Amino acid sequence: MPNSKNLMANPYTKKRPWVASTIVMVLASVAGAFGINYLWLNPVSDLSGTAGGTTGTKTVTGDAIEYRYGVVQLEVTATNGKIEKIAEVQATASSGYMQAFPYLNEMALKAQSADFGNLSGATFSSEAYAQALSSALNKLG
Amino acid sequence: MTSNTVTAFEHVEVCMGTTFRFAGRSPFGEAETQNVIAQACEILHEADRTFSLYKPESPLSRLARGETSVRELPPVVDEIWNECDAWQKATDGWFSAMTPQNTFDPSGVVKTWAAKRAAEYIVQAGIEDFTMNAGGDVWLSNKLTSDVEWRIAISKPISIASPDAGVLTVIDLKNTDYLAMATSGSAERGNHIWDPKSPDKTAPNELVQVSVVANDLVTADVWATAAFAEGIRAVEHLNKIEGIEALFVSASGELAATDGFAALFAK
Repeated sequence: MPNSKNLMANPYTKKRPWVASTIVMVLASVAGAFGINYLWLNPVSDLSGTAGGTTGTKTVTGDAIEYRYGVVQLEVTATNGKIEKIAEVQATASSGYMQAFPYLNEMALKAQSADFGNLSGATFSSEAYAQALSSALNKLG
Repeated sequence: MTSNTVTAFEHVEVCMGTTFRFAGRSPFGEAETQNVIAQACEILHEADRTFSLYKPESPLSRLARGETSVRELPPVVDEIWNECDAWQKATDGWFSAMTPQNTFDPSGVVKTWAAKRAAEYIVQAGIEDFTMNAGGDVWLSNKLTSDVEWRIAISKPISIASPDAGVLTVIDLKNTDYLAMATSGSAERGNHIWDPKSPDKTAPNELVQVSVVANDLVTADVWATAAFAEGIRAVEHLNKIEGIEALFVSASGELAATDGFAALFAK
């Protein structure tokens, strides 16, 4: 780095977000289950005769994986080995942070109809402003 | 000009790829008011000329390419560098001006830093009753006379250009310690915030939006960015920080907040 100030070496320990690792685990589990089922249920001779688009479609359900705040279980649908759809069979957050704030939605909703003189949001581009914000703000007060 | 002059004004300036809106009431006539706002906008453009990484000849672009050093650049670059450094420490490393490519990109603070200076200029020039919207981050002067302007809507975590755009909720900062609100999220520009702590610096997708109130605009902005990078654990983290309150929207659409935020909802 050519800057005159030295860049600090990364002082942080490697942290892997639990969500990412959970999803990897679940997918691995589902993929494993799918692979075994696929091979088990589809002898090679069957595959060679497949003509219609739906002939080889299989749906398998992965194991329910427990993670820090609950349980995640996925269902995978695939046709001829190509994954087409991943659906959540169950995804709970038994003791997640979000469960602690049920009253917030109600309060936020109640405040939603108040008059306001300004709007805060993720940094919009000037193009988005041209499309939307100008008219919205001009209606205010 | 009499001492009773009140000139209502509204000015929108396009700069840094977004818009800055100044609106309020001035004790000066039309021409002088416009002159003050124009000077303030010059502060924004000067910061853009210095710090834009979209302009190949800006001092910061030259720095990123290794053609110069912080010492050779205007002192303001060093000032921002130190400010970013201080924020990195204050946020426990969750805010960082170092890109995943390890170049210095202070865009995360430059917008609100420049906006704050522009607003301060206007106040010092004698216009003390106005609000500023810096591309979605809001600042209110402490002598604001209009009740409705003390109330700030928070956008839903979808692009304001979308037909489903709307207001998530409204907060009221009148008679509080807060004069600024900043919102970070993926609604307008996709997932543009990096996580300084993850090996590949990809921010987790647990949150779609974080709004932070503070007395100071840069403080609100930095914490909103840091919290977005930190993900859902930021709820606990920001709860321990003095002088700010925050509202979080998770990817599933649920809300979370710091302890004092509920008191800010508009009645």
